[in-house]
Amino acid sequence: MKNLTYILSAKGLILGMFIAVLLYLTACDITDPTDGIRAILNTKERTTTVSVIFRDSNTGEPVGFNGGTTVTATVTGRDADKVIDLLNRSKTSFDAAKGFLSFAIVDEIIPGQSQPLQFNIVASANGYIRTSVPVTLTEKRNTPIDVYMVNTASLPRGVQGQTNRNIGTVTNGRLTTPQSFTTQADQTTNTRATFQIAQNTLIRDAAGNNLQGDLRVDYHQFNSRDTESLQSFPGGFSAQVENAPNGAERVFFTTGGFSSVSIYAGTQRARTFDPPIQVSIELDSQVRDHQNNVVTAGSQVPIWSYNDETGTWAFERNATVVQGANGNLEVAFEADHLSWWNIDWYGNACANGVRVNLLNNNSQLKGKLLRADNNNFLGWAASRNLPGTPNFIQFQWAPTNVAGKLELYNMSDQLLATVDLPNLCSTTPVDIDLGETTEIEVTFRGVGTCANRDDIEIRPNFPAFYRPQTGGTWLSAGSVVNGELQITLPSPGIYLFGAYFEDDFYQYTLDLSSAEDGDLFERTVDLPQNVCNDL
Amino acid sequence: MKKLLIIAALLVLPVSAFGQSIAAKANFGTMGLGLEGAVQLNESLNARVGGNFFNFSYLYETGANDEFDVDGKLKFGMFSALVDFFPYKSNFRLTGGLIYNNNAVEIGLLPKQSYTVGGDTYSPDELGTLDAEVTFNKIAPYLALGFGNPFSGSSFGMNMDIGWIFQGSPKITMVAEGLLEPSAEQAPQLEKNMSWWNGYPVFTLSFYYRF
Repeated sequence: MKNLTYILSAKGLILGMFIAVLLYLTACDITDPTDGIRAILNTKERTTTVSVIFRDSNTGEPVGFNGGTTVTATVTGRDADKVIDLLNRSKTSFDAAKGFLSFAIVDEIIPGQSQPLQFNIVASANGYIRTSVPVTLTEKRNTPIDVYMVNTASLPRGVQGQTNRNIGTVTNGRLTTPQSFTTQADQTTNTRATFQIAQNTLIRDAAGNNLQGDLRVDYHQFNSRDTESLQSFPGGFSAQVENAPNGAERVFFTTGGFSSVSIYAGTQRARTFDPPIQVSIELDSQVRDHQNNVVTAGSQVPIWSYNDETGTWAFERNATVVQGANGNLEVAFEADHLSWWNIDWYGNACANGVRVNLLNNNSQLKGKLLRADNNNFLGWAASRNLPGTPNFIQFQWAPTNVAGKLELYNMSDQLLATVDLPNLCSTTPVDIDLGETTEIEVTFRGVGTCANRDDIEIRPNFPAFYRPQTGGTWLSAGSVVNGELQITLPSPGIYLFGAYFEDDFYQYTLDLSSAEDGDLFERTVDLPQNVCNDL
Repeated sequence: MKKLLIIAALLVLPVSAFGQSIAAKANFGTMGLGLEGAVQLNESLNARVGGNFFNFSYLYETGANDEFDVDGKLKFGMFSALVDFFPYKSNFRLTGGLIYNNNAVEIGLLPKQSYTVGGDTYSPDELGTLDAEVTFNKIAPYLALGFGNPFSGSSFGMNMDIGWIFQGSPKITMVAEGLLEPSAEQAPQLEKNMSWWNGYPVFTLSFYYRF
């Protein structure tokens, strides 16, 4: 009996073991090991990139963001041949998308202080005054550039003028009747600009061909006081110049007003006039020269014209300030060619302006630099964040011997602080403590996929832009590197992120209202079809 | 070969001092090639220890239009400490014990195509490589059925084991170089996909010699 029990229990053990193994095997949920596994690829990173926002001077918003207008940007100048698109194709002509553009420099060329790269971004768009901005790159990084453009249908404060005005006809290049056109009085300064073209003036295009047919003009005058007007100054007041009386190649302008005139017959654009156009520009009663001296009748003022292909202002001549008919001082001069014309005093500029350290702040701020003595706008600068240093703002080519003040705005356009800068070229940094903040540092991971290749995931490199959903404006967010962007935001909230890539602007809304420091957000995006086709 | 058998047998000599006799076994099967020393503890129980090893490499060169070649390596390295239980007066036995499981499977993906995206060319060298190594719990239980007893009958003979190593879900490490580097982040996903592979079937044939 004992033996039988022993045998039965042994058989039971064997059977149990078989059943256990069988159940064990059948219980397996066998999954394909490669299920969900992809080849995840970093893409080649561009070493030096440029992020451009073409802004409407009136609103600060990107030109054509809501459709209807496309900015065409052409890169010209000495180093234009080193410009590539984000996919490493040599390219100098771009269509911005919704007012945004990103491009790069050939990977092997690293700009430095001793080897700066210089080129010029020429921007044109239907309904906007053509302008350009000279760019100097001295570092291997993403450089943000703002190009302010004037919408002729919605002129910014301080700008007066007219577009598409008929001014007679030209026959074999000769103007048949004398023409005179004057801007309306500016509401802020009560000043005007008048342009006169004599009968029989010979008008030719840039190639030397006589114009023929109905002549039309776009003309605009910019006052010397309103920020919206001044920020439209082509290239900014720190300018490369030619033929300056003091021999300087780089100066800082103090403008007495500037004008843009474009005359055309059909598709022919007028370039030269013989005899020259007579230009008369009234001066703001508050205008001061570069040393903040009162301008009086008899004062001499330099006249400059702009070459938007090179981004350079050429000194033309000195003109004399006279008492005008409308009670304003005015400056009259002859313009034998068309471009931007500028009444400007000037002084020297230092390559590296004073550095303002922004303590207790890591989110991006905008710095608006003003003259301390008359509050005139001098320029914008974005804050930068370098590893191991406080966030800071530093102007390139700041004016020497000029006291300034810096207004600091967050990305919601709220004024945070004003900093007095008695010496804009000081080598001693100025610290400003911005106190407690609600900043959050978050990381975004954007991965690109293709509908035709579900086995590949791309971690792209590209410059990004961002803004709060309400208030504020679009800003450059720096570079997404291998699909990741680490960024400090001023506070939790809803933010818009975007990127220019292959002539399109990709925009995403992220609700970060509940975000906390260190959070990671992931988003999958569809790559452009032409990129997918190459994979 | 005889020397190896003697070495394996020496492994169980300390035990044999308390037993009656010892045997050496040469194994081959799904655990690789191995040697064991066995000792009889009593009529129903034997004990044995041993090791199994096997290395195998194969470069699978895919078609000309395929994107990757596959470099596979199988590395078997197992040490066992087992007890054989003979429930009947026969050669049928139940075996249980522990395995020190140093097995590893290595798979490498080697890009072989160049891609041009815009003006960028991505060469195989720039893409880099992606390697995955699969390992298991170092200590794993083992259960088996077997036939044959080196301490019964002829002093030279053959045994057979059909068993199962409860190796646990695989542990996967992935290393990638070049532009494929982020692919290595998928080790947890691969581990999840392969979590079902928590056992390893054993079929072993052994030749023994009883001293």
